[in-house]
Amino acid sequence: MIGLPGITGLTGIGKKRQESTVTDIALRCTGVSKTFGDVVAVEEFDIEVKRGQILALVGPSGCGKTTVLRMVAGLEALDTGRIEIGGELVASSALHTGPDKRSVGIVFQDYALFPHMTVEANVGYGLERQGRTERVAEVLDLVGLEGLGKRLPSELSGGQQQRVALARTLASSPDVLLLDEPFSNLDAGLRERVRAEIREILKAAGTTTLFVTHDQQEALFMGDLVGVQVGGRIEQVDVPERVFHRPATSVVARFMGMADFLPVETLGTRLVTEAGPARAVPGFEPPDGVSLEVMARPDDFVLAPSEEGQGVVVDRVFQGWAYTYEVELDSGLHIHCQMPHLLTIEVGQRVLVNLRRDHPQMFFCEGHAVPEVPRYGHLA
Amino acid sequence: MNGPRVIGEQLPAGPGFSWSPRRFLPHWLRREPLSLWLAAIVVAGAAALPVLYLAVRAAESGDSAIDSIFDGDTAAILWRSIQLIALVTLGSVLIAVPLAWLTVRTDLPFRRAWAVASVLPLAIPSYVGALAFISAFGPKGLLQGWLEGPFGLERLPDLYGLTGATAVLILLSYPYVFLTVRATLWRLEPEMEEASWSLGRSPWQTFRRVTLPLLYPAIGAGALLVALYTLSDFGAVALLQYDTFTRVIFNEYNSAFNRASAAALSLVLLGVAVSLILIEASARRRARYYAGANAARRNRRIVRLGRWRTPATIFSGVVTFLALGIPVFVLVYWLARGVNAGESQLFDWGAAYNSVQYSMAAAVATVIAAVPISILSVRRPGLLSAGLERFSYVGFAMPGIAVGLGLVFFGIRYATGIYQTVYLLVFAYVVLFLPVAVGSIRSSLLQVNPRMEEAAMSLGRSRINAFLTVTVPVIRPGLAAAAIMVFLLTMKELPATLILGPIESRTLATSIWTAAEEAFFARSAAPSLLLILASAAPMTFLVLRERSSN
Repeated sequence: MIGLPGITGLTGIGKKRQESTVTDIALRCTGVSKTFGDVVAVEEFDIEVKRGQILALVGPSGCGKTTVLRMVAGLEALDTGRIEIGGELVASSALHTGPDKRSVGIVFQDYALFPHMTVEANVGYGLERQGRTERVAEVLDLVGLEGLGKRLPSELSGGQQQRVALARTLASSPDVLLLDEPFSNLDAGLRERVRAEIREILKAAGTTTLFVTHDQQEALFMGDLVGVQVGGRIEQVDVPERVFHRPATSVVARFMGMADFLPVETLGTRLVTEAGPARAVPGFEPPDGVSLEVMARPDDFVLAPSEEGQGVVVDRVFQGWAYTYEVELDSGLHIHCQMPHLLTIEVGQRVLVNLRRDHPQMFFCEGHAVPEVPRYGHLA
Repeated sequence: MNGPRVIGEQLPAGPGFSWSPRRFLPHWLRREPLSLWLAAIVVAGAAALPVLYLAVRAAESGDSAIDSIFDGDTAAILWRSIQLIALVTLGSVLIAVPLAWLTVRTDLPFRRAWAVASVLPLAIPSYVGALAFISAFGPKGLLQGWLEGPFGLERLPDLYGLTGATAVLILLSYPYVFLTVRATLWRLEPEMEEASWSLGRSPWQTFRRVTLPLLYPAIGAGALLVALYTLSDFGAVALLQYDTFTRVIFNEYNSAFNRASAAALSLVLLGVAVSLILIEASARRRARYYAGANAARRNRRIVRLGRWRTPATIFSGVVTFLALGIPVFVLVYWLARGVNAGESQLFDWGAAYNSVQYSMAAAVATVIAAVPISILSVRRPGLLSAGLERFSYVGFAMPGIAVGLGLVFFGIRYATGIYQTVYLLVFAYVVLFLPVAVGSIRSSLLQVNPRMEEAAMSLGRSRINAFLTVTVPVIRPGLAAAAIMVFLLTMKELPATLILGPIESRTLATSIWTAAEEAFFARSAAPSLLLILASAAPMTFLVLRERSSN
């Protein structure tokens, strides 16, 4: 954790932004809401995805991300808001273009391959007769399945089925590709390889993609942009590094990885916590009269066994390359610290806990970052 | 298995840890008690008995049996049977597939009511259905009576023969296709159709190229049931005077006393039934990749019928009116007329008592016989258990008349003590309805995680005790459903009861049959209505439960 690598990404995005025109936006959702009965599935949802970009939408299960996907596909009607694809309005409270009339392709979680058709027939299903054979061969080549066209889906492995589903969708060159938890049916070893392959295919095809997952690691890996959705609302959209290191809200911080929040006391310009002084970016001016907290990831702490320490180890989890210790501070607050496995501290041992001082930390006030981090950082 | 035990130090699971003679059996036999295998083998052997004796009887009569198989009459009977099967199957599919789709996937008004009404014709025994149609549309029937006065109409189109048999059997057997297609429609993953839509295909193209092909296996399975039902039907073809195998066999046996010919024709009939099953099985083998549809998770899209709503409702109404309305109306009409005329024999209590008694005996015996085969085929899939299961399916392929005849030959020769007693009759019912019971028990056993029994055993219960305390309570609904279905099928069964029933002991089915043959419509109305009600009540319950679980 050195510096804020996200910053460089930001400048890159900003430059592109200046060049962009309206038609550069492949997918735009504005104020989209959807309720099922009493349940609000999606609320005031806004996103913008540029042509060729991959947006990974991540959130806990039940946060409405699949509903967003289905509304973009046209499989679900929205209540309020607008959806534009390639600059064309396809859904509003007054308009609903059917899924067969939108230039959108969707890859389902369990692929939904047609079991009674060969791979070729599946891939060619959405194509006109004219030039179908050539296009099918081309797309099968793109996904690395050349020679398997005569097989039935049931004769393929999980990873191959996945690529057939992708090929079927890519074949008709949709303006927007939608992926719904596409790796959740693959076992762990295969998953990492397949997602790298798929990212490469998407980038090679230059396809605008909305990708839905509940797995933070997957979102960080796949997305040019990562959108965090919690409780039907977008909490933050930005490049992966910034979403991880500069979360706009404490909800995002907690969702993207283990995070503890320590109350901060301001002593003049010094920011003091129970785990020692915190470090802010230069020029940081703590607001007056509010309760401030500092966010700390497990690797932001240094632990040392000491009878003079201000905490006690209450739990230790061995993770191979490291231990994660749970420490109860004297105030009763529990924090989590990760230390290399070379150092072993027993449960019950008193320890001295300090925040690392080699990089500035993030501060939060009532759940929001201070200074404020924009919700749509990639547009700022 | 008692005494203290430490976690992580449990007895090895699976075979071989106890010192018993089973240790010396092959590995795959050892897992289940030997007695279970023996019981299953006895049951499967017993189920095969009728076929065996048909073959023995035909072989004994030598040339005369072979002559009767290869004479021109057999070919003619075969042709008539095939015509009837083809027409009934086609008609059933054409009625049932649209009805199933309408009641599952559209905004058809009163969908649930139509769904129940579309299944209920299964509750009407074929001889009752035929009887109702004859008394409604036949010569001197209700319709003619009404038309005669005002219009002077003297003749209606002839109901007897192929036309009438086809119409009646379609209306009574289309629910088989309706049920299998409906079940598959509920199970189809909505993603299949959604994927097709998002690939730019219209709803109609999606139906034709994705939904319908995915329904083929269900249509095939339902069509097989319809074809076997038609092939084995005796009541309707006999009353409507269309000479298929069953009617000719019965006449050879009953009137001409030509046993060799009856046995030979029964074997041919059995051959046709087995061919039908093989045709369907090979179609399914090619379609095996259709399987694997998960239960649907989300609400599926309901198709708005728009201006097709009225025609669709009329279609459902006409089918229900013909298949359910007419029989019930006609029977109630005759009952009322009988009551008004002071008919003395409106209801035969003795026959009802016999029917209930036989059916209860058949239900209990069949369920007990079905348990060992069901357990082995679920828990120990393998060559032997699959073979045993096949044998138990004899009754599925074998028309009641053939089972009855086979057991007559067996009874006369080797079991005169039980011939023409209720025991041999119940035995016939067990053979006939074993597949139904095995099917129901099997599917409920499939839902029992075998780990539950293993958990019970690791907690110190014996294998039997674990089965009785863990598995049986879980599969109780399956056992009950099996018993109820066998009970109802037995109540309605006609040909085997006619051939094997104890002399002078009537059942509801045989008394309806006698009354119908002699055109005492009023006398057969009350028992017919009772049979329909008895079958309709649990069927309604089953359909409604299916709905609420979806």
